[in-house]
Amino acid sequence: MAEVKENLKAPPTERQTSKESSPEDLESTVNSAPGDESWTMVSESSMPDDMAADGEGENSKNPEWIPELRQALDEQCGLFEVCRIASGRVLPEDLRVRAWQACLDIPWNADEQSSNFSSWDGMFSLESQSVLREQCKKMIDKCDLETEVEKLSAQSDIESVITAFCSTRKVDYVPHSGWLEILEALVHFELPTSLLYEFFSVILKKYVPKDGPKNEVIHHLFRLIVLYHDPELCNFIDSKRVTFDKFSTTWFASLLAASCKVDTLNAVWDIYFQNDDPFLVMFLGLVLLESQRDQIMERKEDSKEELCTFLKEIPAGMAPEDVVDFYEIANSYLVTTPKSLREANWTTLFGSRPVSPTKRLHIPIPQALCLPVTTDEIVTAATRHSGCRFFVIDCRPPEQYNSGHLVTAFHLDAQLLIQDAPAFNAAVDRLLASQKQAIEANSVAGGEHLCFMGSGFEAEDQYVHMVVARMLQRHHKYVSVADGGYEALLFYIEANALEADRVLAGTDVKKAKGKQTEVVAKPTAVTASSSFFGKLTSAMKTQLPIVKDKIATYISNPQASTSSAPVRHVSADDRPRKAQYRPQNVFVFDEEDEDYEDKLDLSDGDLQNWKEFIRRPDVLAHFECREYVSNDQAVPALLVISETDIYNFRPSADQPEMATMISQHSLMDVLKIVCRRKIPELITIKYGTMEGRDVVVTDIERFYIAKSGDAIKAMKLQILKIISENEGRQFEME
Amino acid sequence: MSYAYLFKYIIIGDTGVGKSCLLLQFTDKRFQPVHDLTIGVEFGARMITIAGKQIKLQIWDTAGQESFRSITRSYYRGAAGALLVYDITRRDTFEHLTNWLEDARQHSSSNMVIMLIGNKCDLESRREVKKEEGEAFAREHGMIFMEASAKTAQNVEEAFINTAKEIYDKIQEGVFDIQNEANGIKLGPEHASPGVGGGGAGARGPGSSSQSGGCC
Repeated sequence: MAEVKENLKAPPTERQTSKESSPEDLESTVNSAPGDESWTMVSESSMPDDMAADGEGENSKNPEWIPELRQALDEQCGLFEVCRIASGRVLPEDLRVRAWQACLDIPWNADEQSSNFSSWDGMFSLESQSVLREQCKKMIDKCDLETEVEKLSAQSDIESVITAFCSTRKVDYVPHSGWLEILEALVHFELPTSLLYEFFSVILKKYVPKDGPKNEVIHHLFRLIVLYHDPELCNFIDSKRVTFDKFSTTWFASLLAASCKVDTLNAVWDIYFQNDDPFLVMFLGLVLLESQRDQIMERKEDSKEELCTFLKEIPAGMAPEDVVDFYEIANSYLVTTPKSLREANWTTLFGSRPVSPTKRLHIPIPQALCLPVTTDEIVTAATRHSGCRFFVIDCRPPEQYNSGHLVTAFHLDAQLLIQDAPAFNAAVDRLLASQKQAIEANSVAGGEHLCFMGSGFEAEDQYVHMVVARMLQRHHKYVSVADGGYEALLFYIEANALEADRVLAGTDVKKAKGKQTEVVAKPTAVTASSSFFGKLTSAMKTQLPIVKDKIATYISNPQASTSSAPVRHVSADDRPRKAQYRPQNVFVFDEEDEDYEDKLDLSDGDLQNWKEFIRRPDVLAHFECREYVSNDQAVPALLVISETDIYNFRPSADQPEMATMISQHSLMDVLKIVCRRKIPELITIKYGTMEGRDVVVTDIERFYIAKSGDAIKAMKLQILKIISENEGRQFEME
Repeated sequence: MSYAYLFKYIIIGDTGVGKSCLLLQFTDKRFQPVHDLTIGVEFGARMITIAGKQIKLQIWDTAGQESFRSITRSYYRGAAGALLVYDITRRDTFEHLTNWLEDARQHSSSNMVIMLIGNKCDLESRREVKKEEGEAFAREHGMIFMEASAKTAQNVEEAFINTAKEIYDKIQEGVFDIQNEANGIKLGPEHASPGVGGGGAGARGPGSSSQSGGCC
């Protein structure tokens, strides 16, 4: 475990220290009334490093936050306040229930009010009622409750809650669903039954993955994540014929309640609820496996069942003092995992937010050979400040690559693997060396994360699969495949009206300059129009002969292919140098970004359709609000938060869909977000830069936002994400 | 090395029946009792001689898990031969043969030669599937059948080579259109000039057919 931590600990960034040194006198520039609570957003709280440093000793060393949290909870604060004050720490026992309640967004009067619990008719008439009763009794018997009365009341509470939950949803109780374990963890707090019900149903709704009929997506997802970070371990478990659902079902279904000791579980949930990310449990699962990696790998002689039992029990070995560290590592894994999987499966598993079409995956998760990455993530990776960087390896036949390919993609002739294995290995080695160079040169084409791209057609992609399999067999981590292949890329370019020659390079693309996208599609003889799947058949017909010809030339002339292929097809050798000396060619995305700004930085009075704007894939949230343009004058405004920037729009008075962009600030320029406890809806955002040791405030905006907590949370999380990802990247490059 | 023909094979069957072991025994002549699960697909090649002709076998070994079926399917296309493997000590692997066969027939060229192999025949004491059952199943579905052991190497050579002979015979009979690579057959460099065409003069020599018949 220690080793893992060592590897993952990110160095503190300058940003952090600079924020902390923000001089207090800045406060005077904001019109905050005396006595108002204000806070510096970035410097305080939840830096991954803080979390690590705090740990367990925190409560005694620096306990000021506890009274603060108590007071905030007395004032019935929400998730945001709890996160701000507790900053990812383990919570004190006496505040735990109320803090959880705040984090889970359970109404403060849930116990008195008519909650969903009261809509239950009180009938214990589930089909499997007797099974449920039996299991409740068994569970309570092993609980350390003192009197019989307590036991009976706890047992009845649990049975009531589950019965009410099932009855109101018209479903039957399913044994081994993890529900009892969740309730067991909650019953210690002696909550009123209706409140217990609220806790239970919110935890289920928010954090327990709801899966397909076969309940399989989550385990395949988990396996893919393990495979991505540790192919050797994953292959070991696979080779032992232990499928991931065998040991991780209870982890996920009970949010680790089934496997952790009580005090550990409390700490786990303390931080889990603060993080407010349902996918985190999979990364915690990965940390749990990694923490026992050596022990797992030593169990070569174990039977399938023995290994399965061992794996299942790993969480039981976690101590409360490990928890903060585990989260720190889990978060590092999270930021070094392409996010396509999360985005595409959020709805399936946690059913709350819709998946935008560009973020859907073509391949069903259980069939994925390795982690799939959407075209959207690959293409936008270069423009984003945050997220994984990809080293894209195009595995299509050389002539297809030459006629058109992603501008940052390197080429590897997959068929070489069959033709001439040593030549193929040499080509891979050269590619990996190029990858290293590209990363060192900080080129957009560089990235730790290998992404293999095929054509997107089954018949041809057998070669890509083979290359991917080969990389995984060699235990190469960070191996992903471009979902939908080159065809999906063409489709994406068209669907998003991108200029093809900025995203693609190649002979046919150059010809296409100025003629727009349909010409670009020519290399594959498919016009990039109509539906993506509709084109499959015709494209296969047209592409197959090309591949066959290629096989023909190779097979009939193996000598020639051995000597020429690696040199000719793996353009890897020269590309990083290009990236270094002629960045204008490679940094195409940056150029595009500038163009974007040009288009958007309209002079005042230029209207644009904001409803369209907020549909942009990088927009995270938007808030209709009012901006205080002076102390006593507020005008309607629209605050838009994207992955990289904060936009301020002024809606048009007469055209409801149109708005003028007043400002655009990078999230990284946010110095402070001030909110007042007395008027929590009023927030002040200060933008600026650090010049030496001085803080230069360049702009201040004040908004009155009904959902200010959500707005602040969105900005804060994104800023933290950018920072932690930058840290991660800096570290990776060292 | 030059060769007259290249045949493409695919090995299919449930996970754990010993597909990779059969391949390893055939290409490397060794047995590895503990090995990693096949990830996706692996690849092996070996040269054999049939009727005095050098034939290169290019063998694709696939992962048996249900979830990778869609990847496996892409390898049926363009395979001239398939080894469908079950484990004589595990009844379920025998019962799944129908599914495998359906998959294979649906996604491959209709001429693909399928050889049914009951593997692990060295483990007689743990046998769950009788040899007769295997024979009957193969007969019913028009396959060649053989019990083999990747561990003792019994019948491993034969399994691969008999399949190749069957393919070779089909070429002689003109069943396979060897100009169409979708059938999983390629003419070697010496035949490659388009002028020769057809089955190639050498392939139809009288000696070759009699010799191949004798071996069977």
